[in-house]
Amino acid sequence: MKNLIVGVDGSAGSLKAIAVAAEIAAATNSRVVLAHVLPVPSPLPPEVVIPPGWIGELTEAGNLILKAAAEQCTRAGAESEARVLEGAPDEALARLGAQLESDFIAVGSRGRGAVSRLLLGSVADKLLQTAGRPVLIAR
Amino acid sequence: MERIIVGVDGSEESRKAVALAASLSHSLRATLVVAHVMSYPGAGDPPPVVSAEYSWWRSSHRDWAETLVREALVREARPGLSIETRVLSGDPAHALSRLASEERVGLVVVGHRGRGLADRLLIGSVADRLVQICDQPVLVTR
Repeated sequence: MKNLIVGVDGSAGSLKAIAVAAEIAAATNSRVVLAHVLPVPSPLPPEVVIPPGWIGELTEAGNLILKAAAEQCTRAGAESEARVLEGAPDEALARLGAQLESDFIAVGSRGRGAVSRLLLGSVADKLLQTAGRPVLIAR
Repeated sequence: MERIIVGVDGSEESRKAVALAASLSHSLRATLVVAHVMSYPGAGDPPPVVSAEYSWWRSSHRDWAETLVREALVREARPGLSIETRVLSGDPAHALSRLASEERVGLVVVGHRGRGLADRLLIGSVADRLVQICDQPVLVTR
């Protein structure tokens, strides 16, 4: 094992994914790469005007989620690093996976705020079909 | 985690899943459970009519399944790794998911494609359905 990516968004599934990845990383001397994808459609359509401070607030919220995730890894005895990504979450995570040649990409089965009757969110589903590398899905 | 399940079906993808699951189990000092699910119409229920042919066919299927899980055990056996085998029957995704919740399993590992193009086109792969219903984390390998 080299490095394990976890998509973090603060959802219950994502917390579980961090726990599993951290346990594996600690046992295999590999590194957890915590990736938070900013929940902004990108590129934005030209007619959309971003309220001042909006991106800043999202970035700040993302940093808090990443910080909690890093602490979770440390407690499990795993090394971690944080990344902030932009764009469609599945594509951004798949791209990072290819770039880092990650052993797997772990995500929660549903993102934050996803309708709970969905058994599997679209990010997890798309990653599974297109990531081209192992994907871990936690509920 | 105490136990890791890996689903086997004789495909190349499942062989890779077993190799990864074995190496993870070894590192994590978890018991590896190699499981095959015999799946065919009526697999989970007693057959409506028990003919001699049906009994023969079913027992040959079971022999094949036992060979499959035993082969995986022999291939992955190494010092410090404890491996168990299971042969189940029924719908593969449901059977693996049920096994995972019964046996305090930390992770279920499966290959992305199961056997059979027709199955895949009609109902999707076992992995696709497993990630929808399994309460335990699922690692889908490639």
